[in-house]
Amino acid sequence: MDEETLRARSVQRARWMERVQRGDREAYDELLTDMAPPLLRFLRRRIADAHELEDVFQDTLMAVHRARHTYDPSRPFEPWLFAIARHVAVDHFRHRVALTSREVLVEVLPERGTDADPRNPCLAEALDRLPPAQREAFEMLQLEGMSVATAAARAGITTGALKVRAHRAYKALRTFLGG
Amino acid sequence: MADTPSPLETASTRALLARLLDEAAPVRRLRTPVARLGLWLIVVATIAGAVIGLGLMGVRSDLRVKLRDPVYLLEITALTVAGMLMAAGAFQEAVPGYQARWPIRRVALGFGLLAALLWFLQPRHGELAVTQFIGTGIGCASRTVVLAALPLCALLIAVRRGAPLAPARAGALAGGAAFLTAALLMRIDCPLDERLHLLVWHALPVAGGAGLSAVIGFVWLRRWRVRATR
Repeated sequence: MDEETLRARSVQRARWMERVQRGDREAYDELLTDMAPPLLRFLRRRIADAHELEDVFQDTLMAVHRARHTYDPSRPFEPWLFAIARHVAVDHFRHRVALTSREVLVEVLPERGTDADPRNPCLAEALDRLPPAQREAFEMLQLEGMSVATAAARAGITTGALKVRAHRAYKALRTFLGG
Repeated sequence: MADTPSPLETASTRALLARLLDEAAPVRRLRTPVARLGLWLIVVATIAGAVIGLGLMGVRSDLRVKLRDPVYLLEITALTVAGMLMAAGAFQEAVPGYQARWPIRRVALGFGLLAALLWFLQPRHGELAVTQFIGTGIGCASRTVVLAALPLCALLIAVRRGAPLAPARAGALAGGAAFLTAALLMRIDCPLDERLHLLVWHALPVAGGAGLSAVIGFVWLRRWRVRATR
């Protein structure tokens, strides 16, 4: 791709983002579709594990969504996007290092809790704070009552990876709920 | 790897994208760092005006004479520029990927160190009793903290409206800006031009305030990623 095309694409992304800030759903759809492949390439250069890559990719999308009001359309879009992506990836590595030094994988996941009611406002709020992949794992196992194998198949990951996500979700929820 | 679907194709990514599109509400765009700096300076000027106007703080009786002293003028200028640049740096930290044309943080630190160096070059008055040194000094330090409190709160709240990727650094810059501004006001008020007094009771609160603000920033400013979607 030549420089002119890249510049034109960057200008187009800035325009889409400007419309996104005004609440334009169509522009958001176009922007997300357009920026996802380069964003994924950027993250893939930093993360080898496919499941971690998915987690970080989704976290980056969430971070971009939450920071969208900080984008200045008079500036190029890519430095803004990749600064967020780099931050999420680095943050992920920091958390992983901290977690792997402490976490223990359990053979049997805990039984479904009686207080895992999504209508509980505290739980709903805590669930909102979870990364999407962890939230999905928790919801499938604890709220929908799926088996580990079924939930893993639905998420398109191995049972081991699902257990890891669920385990992290429990730990995070425990922290959020002050347990 | 061959049987692992791309993150773009998984059900959870598709669900997330659909959720984000559903939440595509209009947002109020953050003003540019320059515009926000201007607003902050207005806040600081209002606070300083109110503090002096209400008689909560005065100006040194020899201010007219001191304003003809080039070293004093350089000191005041260094404090002003360092405070403004640190505030500008804090506002830039709130915008991901924002790149200034010149190294604003280093220049700010340079001006701050210049002010400290000028304080270090002030004469040493050995005849000051320890009780007097502590008594007057605590007054200066506590007034510095009081003067810095509101500008610091305003700055931290403003930075948190953005998305600071380095929250501790953003906090340190905010603290540095607020405490340097307070130190500037104190230099207009405090008549003691003594090396040890200035270094201990004027410079240390700035360094301590910036450090404390870095801790506040690390804890409080990094939450933009988990707060409720606007």
